Amino acid sequence: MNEYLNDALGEISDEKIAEAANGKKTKRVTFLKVASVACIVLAVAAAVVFMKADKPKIKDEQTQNQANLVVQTAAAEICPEKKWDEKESNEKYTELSFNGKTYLSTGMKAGKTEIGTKLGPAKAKGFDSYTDKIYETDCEVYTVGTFKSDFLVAVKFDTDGNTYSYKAEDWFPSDLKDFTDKLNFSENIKIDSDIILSSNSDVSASQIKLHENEALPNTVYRLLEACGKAKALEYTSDNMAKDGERILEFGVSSPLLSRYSLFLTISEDGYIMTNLVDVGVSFFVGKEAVKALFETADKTGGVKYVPTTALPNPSDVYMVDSIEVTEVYSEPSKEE
Amino acid sequence: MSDSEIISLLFVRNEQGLKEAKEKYGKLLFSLSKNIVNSDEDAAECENDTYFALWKSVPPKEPDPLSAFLCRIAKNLSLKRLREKTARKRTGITIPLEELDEAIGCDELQRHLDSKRLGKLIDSFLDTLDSENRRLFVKRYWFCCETSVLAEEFGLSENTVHKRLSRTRQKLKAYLVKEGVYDE
Repeated sequence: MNEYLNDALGEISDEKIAEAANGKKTKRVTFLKVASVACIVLAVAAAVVFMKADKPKIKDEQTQNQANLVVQTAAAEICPEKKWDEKESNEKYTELSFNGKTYLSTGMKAGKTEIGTKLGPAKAKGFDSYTDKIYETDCEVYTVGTFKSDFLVAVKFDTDGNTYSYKAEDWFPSDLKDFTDKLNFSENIKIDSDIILSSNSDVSASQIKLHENEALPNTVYRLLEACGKAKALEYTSDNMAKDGERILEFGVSSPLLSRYSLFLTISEDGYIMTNLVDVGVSFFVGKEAVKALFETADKTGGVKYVPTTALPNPSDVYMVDSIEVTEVYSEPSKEE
Repeated sequence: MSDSEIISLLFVRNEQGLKEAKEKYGKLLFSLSKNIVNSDEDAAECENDTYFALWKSVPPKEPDPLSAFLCRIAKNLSLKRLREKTARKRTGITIPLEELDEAIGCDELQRHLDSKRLGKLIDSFLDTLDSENRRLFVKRYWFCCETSVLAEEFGLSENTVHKRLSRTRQKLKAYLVKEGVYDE
């Protein structure tokens, strides 16, 4: 063992050791993961199409062989990493530096209707794993929908003329107001009408699906607005509903963020918890603040509910559904 | 339980503090130790010795951050255990240190730079890295994690982990050259 080097490494500061020790698992939706799903979806879809179109319809043997070849190729060559020149701009340049902040590609295109005002030029960089080179390019940054730009931006590249969304790296709100402001919660986040009331001590035993009632989501929007000063807490066992407390679980989604099937949970002892932020975030607003919400829930009533899936883990980044996947792998446009 | 609550329990000599520390950091300490001693049994003993050392140190110490304090103890105990066993197998801590040695050339550095000064330079160099690459470096060379474990933890392929570490080692060498630590 190299004692000299080992002693030298002993001088690394406590902060850096703690940073590495406490670092959460990175569960980013990497290009390869998205591409893997996309390839499988494409392979299966292609197989289904060609199986249906099989036999009597395809009389021409050459056409049949070509069809088989496509299916075999798709299935066999599942997801090698694309070469640099084959990648779209956001796949090439995954990291953006703008206004002193680092943003990472969400893997999504931003639709024309979602792009807002121009914020200015920026540099984006990317790494080509085939050549081990780092590339940098100029780009223009825009707002996306009504999201605050220190949370989410759209980036336009001259190279392909497309615009993609980039999210601030490791963003974590300071308080509830910061959270709702940056996401422009009331406009960008949809609260589903499927609302579950359960006990935190035994979630699977006693769940009630509340009758549809618009008052509940509206009360949530008001609650978030009213408790803006509640500090943001990391989603740990210390910062969530205590055992035995009742909780209301709302499904939330954001098409612009490409985030679906997420949750926002409010407990009767006054915690608001959600995984809309990648690592999960919790806010303590107090019992009194949530009292009216639970009273409304009690009045609403519902039916016994048997869950089909476990409660999601707040630290998980959820793989978006096939809409996004297919967008990543959409056919090249004719101009290209 | 928060670190300060654990410290508070230890200050009033409540053994629950050790249980909470084990609950919160046990897995981390065991894996750190195992990376070095390469044995479940030795790692478990090092982990337990770490709690004993914690019990003896607090009070009067009030370590902050607690995680780094525990990791330092566990690492030192594991290194001691490794030396006792004079394990010369090319495993555990040996491989990461060889990687780093190869990149920066310790034989040459050792002639005119003490380990403490080199350590300070490495620490400053780490400040120039982004958070992810810094964590990757510390996990590999301080915690001695295997690249396959890092790949899983950071959501990268093992190949990418190797490449990133390789680039960081090159950057470190360039940084040390810039700091004038090598002979002309």
